[in-house]
Amino acid sequence: MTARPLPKFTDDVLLSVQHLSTEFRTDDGVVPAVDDVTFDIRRGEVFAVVGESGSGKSVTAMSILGLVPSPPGQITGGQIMWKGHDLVQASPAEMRAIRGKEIAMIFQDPMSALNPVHTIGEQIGEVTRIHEGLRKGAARTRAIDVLSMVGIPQPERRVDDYPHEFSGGMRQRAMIAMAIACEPDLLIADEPTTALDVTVQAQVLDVLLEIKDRINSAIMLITHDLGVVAGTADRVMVMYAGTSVEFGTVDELFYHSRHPYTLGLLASLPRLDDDSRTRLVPIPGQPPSLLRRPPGCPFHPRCAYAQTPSPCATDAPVMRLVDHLDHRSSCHFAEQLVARPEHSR
Amino acid sequence: MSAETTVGAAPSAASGPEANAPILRAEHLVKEFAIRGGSMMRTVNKVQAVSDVSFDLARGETLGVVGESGCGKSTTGRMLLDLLHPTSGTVSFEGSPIAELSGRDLRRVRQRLQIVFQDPYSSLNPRMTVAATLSEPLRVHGQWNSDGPERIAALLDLVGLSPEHARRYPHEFSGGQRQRVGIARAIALEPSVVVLDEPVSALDVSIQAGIVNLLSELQERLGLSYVFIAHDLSVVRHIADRVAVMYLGKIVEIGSRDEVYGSPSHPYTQALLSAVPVPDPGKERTRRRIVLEGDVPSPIDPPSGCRFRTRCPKAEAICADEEPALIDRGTGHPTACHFAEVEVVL
Repeated sequence: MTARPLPKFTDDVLLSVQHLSTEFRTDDGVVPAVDDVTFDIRRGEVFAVVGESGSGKSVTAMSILGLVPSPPGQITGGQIMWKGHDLVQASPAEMRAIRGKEIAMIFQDPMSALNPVHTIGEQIGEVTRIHEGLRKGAARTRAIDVLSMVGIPQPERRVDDYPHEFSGGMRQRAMIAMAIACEPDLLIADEPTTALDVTVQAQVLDVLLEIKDRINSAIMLITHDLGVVAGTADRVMVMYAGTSVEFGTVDELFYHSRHPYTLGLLASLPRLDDDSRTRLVPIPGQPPSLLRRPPGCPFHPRCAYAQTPSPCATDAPVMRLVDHLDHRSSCHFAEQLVARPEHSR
Repeated sequence: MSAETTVGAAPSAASGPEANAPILRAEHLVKEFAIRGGSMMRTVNKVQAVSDVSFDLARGETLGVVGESGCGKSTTGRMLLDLLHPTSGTVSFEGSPIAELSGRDLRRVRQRLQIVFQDPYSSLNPRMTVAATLSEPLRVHGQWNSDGPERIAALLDLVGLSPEHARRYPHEFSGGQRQRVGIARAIALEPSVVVLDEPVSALDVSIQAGIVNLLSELQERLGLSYVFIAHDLSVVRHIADRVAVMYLGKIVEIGSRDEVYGSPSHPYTQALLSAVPVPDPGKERTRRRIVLEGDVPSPIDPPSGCRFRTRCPKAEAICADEEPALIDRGTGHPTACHFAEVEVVL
C-alpha cells in the first residue's frame, strides 16, 4: 500500500449537527446519552468519533439516522442539518428515503446485521430496488458490481451465497457493499473493524477509504481504537459521558491535545512502536454512570489537572476554540495544558 | 528438546541448582477436535486446533502468545492447565508431566498453575459474593481456616480493591474491578504460573493500563511466571519477555521481545506487525503496510507444507511441498519459514 496523502479539506459541509441532545427514559431515571453535541462533517473527509463504551458515540449516529428507539429514547434538542433540511423534524417516510440512499450505515457485527435466510445478492439488491426502483436483474448486476468494488473474489458466483458461506472479513465487505450500493453522500461506520482480525482490519479499512474517494462521499467513523483514528481520520471528535470534550484535526488532537481526557487516553495506551518498559499511566477511576453524571465537568473526578477550588466541579464547561484550525476543547484550563513528555513520543 | 527452548530466557526469580530449568514445558502439543454431523452426530471430520506446539517458560518470565482468532492460542493455554487434554504431546510442570500425575500430586500442581479468563462478566459466578469467590479455591484445597477472612482482605488489597468489596456481588463492579477479582482468585493459592487468556481485551482503553500495571506489579512481588495470550500486539510488547507468534495451530516464530518486534523474520509476523495501527498520525502516513490477501484458511483442511503459503508474498514451490521447521535460520531466533530474513517493519 502506498502512504496516505496528507488530509485535504473542503468547506463543503455535508452534515451539520447543532446542540444535539438525546435522552433515554428508564425506570432508574433519565439517561442523557448525548448532551449538547455540535460538529459538522465535510464532503471527502473521514470524521472520527472516539470514545469508550457509554460515551454516546453510537447514539449520536443513531440520532442522525433517526434510529433512536422511541420510547424510551428521544431527541430532546438541537438540529441535524442535512442538505438544507433538519432531520430531527423529518417524517418517518422522509427518513426512509434518506437512509440507505443518502446516508448509509455499516454496523460492527456483520453476522447479526445480515439476514441469514437471504443471499448476499438479494440483500444488496433490496437497497437498490427500494431506493432506485431497479428490477431484479438490474439489482443483481449492481450487487455484483459493488461486491467487486469491495474486493470480493468471483463476485458473479459469490453474489448467490448466503452470509454463513462468507468469512468474517468478507461479511464486513458485503456490509460495505450494501452501504455503498446507492452511492451515499455519507457513510456512517460504527466500529466497522472491531470484530475483525488485524490483518483483515487493514484490508477492510483500505477498501473503505478507497470507496470513499471513488464515490466522493464522507465517512463518519465511530471507534474506540486510537490507532485506527491516527491511520484513517482527517478530523476527530472525542466524546466522554455523553458530551463532546475535544474536536480538531487528527494532528492537533494527537500532538497538541487540549483536553486532559484525550491526553489521558494517549498516555494509557501501550504502543507497538515503543520498546521501553515505562509504566503505563492509567486514567484513575471509572467512567461515570450517565444516571449519576458528576456536576461541572463530567471528567473532573478522574482528571489529573482538575483544580480545587475550581470551576471543574461546579461549572459545566463549554466547547470553545482553543487554537487555530478549528481546534476546540471543553476544558476550563485548556489553554494552560501542556502535554507531558510521554505524550509527544 | 528443540532449539527454540533456549532463546532469550529471562533472568530467573529463583536461585539454586534448578533455577535454570523451565518451570513449565510444552512438548509437541496437539489438540484435535471432532466435527460431528449428520442425524447420528457421528464424527464426520477432525480439526487440528493446535499442531505440534513446543515451548519453555522460564521462572519469573512472561511468554506472550499472539495470533489472530483461530490460531490455537487459547486452546494451547487451556492445555497448559490440562483444562483440555492434549490429543498428544506433554505439558511438564517443574519437570513432571502433568498427565501422569494423580491424587495429591495433581492437586499440588493445580494450586500452582492458575488461569485468568478474558471476560470478567462470564467468568465470575453472579450469585457468589467476592468473598465466596475468593474463598472457594482456599476451601477446595483445604487451606480455609480462621485466618481466611484476613487472607481475603489481603488478596483484595493486593489487587487494588478494598476489604469492603468482599461482601459485594459481581454486578456491583465495573469491568476493570471484576477483572481484579478474577486476578485475585487466580493468585489466592499462591501459584507459580498464571495463564492470562486475553486478560484486558474486554476492557475499555482507560481501564486496560491499570490492569496491565497490576499484572506487572504482582509478577515482581510474587515472582510469578506468566503465559500472556493476546491478539493485541501492543500490550504484548509492553509486558512480555519472550513472544511466540501462532498461525493456524503452529508457532511460526519465537524469540525475545526485541527479536520478534525489532527483527521479525517470518513474513506473517512482519505483516501482522505492519498491520497494527499506531496512535501517531505522522507515522501512520509514512509507514509501509504489508496487506495480506484473503482470510485465514480453514483449519479443517490446512494448506500443505507451510500453512501460511496461501497468503504469503514470498511463497514458492517448496512451500507447498515441505513444511518449514521452527529453527534458527541465521536471523538469531527460530522462524518456521524457508525464506526467513529479518525485515524491520516498525
